[in-house]
Amino acid sequence: MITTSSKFFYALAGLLLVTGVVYGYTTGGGEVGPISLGYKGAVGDLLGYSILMGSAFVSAFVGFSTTAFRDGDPEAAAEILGADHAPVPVAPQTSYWPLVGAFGLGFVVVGIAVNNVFFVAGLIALGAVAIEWTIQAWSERATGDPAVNREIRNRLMLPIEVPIAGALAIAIIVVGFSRLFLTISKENAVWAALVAAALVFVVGTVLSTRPALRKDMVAGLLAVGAVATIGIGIVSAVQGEREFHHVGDEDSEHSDDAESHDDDAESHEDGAEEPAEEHN
Amino acid sequence: MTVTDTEAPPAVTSAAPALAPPRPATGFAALIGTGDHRTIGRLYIGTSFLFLLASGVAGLLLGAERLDTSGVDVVGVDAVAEVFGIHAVAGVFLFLLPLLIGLAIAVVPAQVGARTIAFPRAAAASYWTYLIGGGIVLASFAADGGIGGTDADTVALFLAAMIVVLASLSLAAICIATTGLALRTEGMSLRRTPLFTWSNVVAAGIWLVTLPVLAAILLLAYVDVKYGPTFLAGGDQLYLRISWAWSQPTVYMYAIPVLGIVGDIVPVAARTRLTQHRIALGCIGAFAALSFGAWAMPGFNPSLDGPLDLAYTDEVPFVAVSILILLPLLAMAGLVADTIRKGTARLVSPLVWGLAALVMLLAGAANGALVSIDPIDLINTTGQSAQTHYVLGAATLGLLGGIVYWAPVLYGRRFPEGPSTALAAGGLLGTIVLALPELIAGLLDQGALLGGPAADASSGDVDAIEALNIVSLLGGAILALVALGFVGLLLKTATARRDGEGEAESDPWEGHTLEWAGDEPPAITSEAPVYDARHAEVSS
Repeated sequence: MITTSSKFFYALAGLLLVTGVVYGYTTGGGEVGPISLGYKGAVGDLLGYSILMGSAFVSAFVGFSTTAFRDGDPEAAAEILGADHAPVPVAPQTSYWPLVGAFGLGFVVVGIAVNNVFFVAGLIALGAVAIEWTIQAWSERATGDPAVNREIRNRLMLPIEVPIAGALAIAIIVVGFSRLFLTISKENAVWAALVAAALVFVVGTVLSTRPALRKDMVAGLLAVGAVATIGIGIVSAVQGEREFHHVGDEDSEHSDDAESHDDDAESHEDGAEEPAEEHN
Repeated sequence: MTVTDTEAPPAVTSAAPALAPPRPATGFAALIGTGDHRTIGRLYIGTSFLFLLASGVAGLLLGAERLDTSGVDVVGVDAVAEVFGIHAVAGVFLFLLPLLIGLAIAVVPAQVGARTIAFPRAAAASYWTYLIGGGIVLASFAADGGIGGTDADTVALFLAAMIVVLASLSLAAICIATTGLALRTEGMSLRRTPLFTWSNVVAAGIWLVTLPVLAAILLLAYVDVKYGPTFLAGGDQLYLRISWAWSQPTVYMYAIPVLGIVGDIVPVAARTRLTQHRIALGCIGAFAALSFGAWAMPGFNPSLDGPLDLAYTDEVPFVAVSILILLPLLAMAGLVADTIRKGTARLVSPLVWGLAALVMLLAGAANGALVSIDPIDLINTTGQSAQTHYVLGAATLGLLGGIVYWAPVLYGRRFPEGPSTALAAGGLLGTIVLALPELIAGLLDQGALLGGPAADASSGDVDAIEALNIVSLLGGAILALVALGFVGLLLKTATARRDGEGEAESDPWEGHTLEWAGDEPPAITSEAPVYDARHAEVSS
């Protein structure tokens, strides 16, 4: 039985096929080139011809598929499943992987155009999304009980997710704050470290004294902290590191970072001569 | 010998505790992790209006630029191509098409009696990808990238982001088409499918054979920009390379669902069945087939630095399609008029929006027929811009009418009738005042592009052209006011339920199709099951 949608797609395929042949002849195609798909002679404008013929074959394929699946007719689906009625699909549970995947794709786009680091980060995110999305989709259909399904998923994925998430959190903190400390002056770096430590202490104390605090509020606090750290890291990286210069005399066996521009300027004003000493 | 005493494990005295069911997310967490088709549709609709802001401002700047045809003073020669690019790209791919998709994602599942859209997480992924990709597109324009940009990195960024946006919209189209084809409830054959759903199924098919072609062109342009001119002479001719995507005949593919919207609204407003539902299905299918226009793109010039080959505009297929597409539109208009004549029509605001859209679509198709007639010589003049504005204006009016009509499904509340009707009338007036002077100026040889190769074509009656451009800008300003007013009404309607204002109305129009059926849908025995059930109750 040729279904209604099949007829539409077959008609579309026919129209595209005819359009493609006409297009081939009107753009310089040979005698039998356009009707032999270029096997015997030129097809005219290759790109347009290819698109039209390609679209025609795609339409024919879709038409064939809808014939085979009978327009996704529910009665047919129920018959195949041996049930009285076809199962009714319902909306899925909450999942953040589509959002993470979109961000990953965004990173890939920025990366291929501007910076390879973003590209690699995006690919990693997309890989993680592919795995997580697949596991989530599978586990949601594992049994008929959503609670059991969630347990199955957690048993499989948490031993992988927790260490990776921990390593990622450490990496964010290390990279973010190291960019900050390398950008601002030494004195300010000390103050920034103190403020950060104080913040961690205060937030940790508040969390420990209020065990009944809502879980989403804690998650929100951590998310804000992570975004702030990443933001600080990006802004600092864009600003660039402060200028370092080699210190120590010729016999010195080691070198160390010295000062920012300001401190350097001060040293000159003080009349300090080479070899430079490390300033505090 | 060591004896190790092992303590026996405690006897199991009770069954293992039952696992707690997963707690559903709430608030913002629920929003960003949603798989609910109505929420995704609302997100699409809201975001598309944000992107309209960029397109609208750019359009008004271009309108202001035409007030004095002697030079390019308002945005400057260097920026004019980028402003053109923002106006076109944001208007079509970040506003109009996502708005279409948003409405379809929210409404199509309800129309076919499904509880969800097909591949709901893919639909969610398409939305988030569109949002992020669209943001990058606009950011690349701001950083001297995009169409007409001079910074190679940000032009490449624009091209890559546009490909991602097109991929996301294609993914959404797959979800919509699959829902219409595969999730229909028992008894709903394709012949009984509501017109909006049918129009989206065929539109999605056309989008799926068109958007990848555009993406391929952008990919070639990306390779050119990144690795040197190989295919398209770099990014210099990018606008001309991709402008077929919003020119005749491709421009019609954005208006396909409008026929479905009009076809669903009119019989409800007229309180009768649509005359010849099957013919309406055929009209929409024919209109969709004729709107496939990926073939009508500039040819590839092997010399790279030569002019673009626009020979297709003289060819028979272009002329034939441009004229033939009027036929399904006229047939659809005839069905609509006959339905209104047979019924007892109420002048509700969705009907005003829908009729305004249909009239503008007919005007656009007539304009397109004029463009295809060689002796009239409208190619590369504002006569082509007029057609684009007519058709895209019609699509926008129809979509806004669809949002007004399905607001009870989307937001649980109805738009206020008076302001909505006034906005519809304003939209009709604005579209005419915007596009008609452009057509007349095109007949006077005003070039389509500012600062581009056709700018010097404005050698006709300069005073008349500048006067027409003032009127056209006024039309743009009217449309901007209508858009702002509509967004205001939308926000008020969308927040009314949260604020407890007004009463929820599940079926204020006495609709005919399943989205108005509530929790107990009737058996599907025709294309208007709810209408049938209501009349069966009355007659019994």
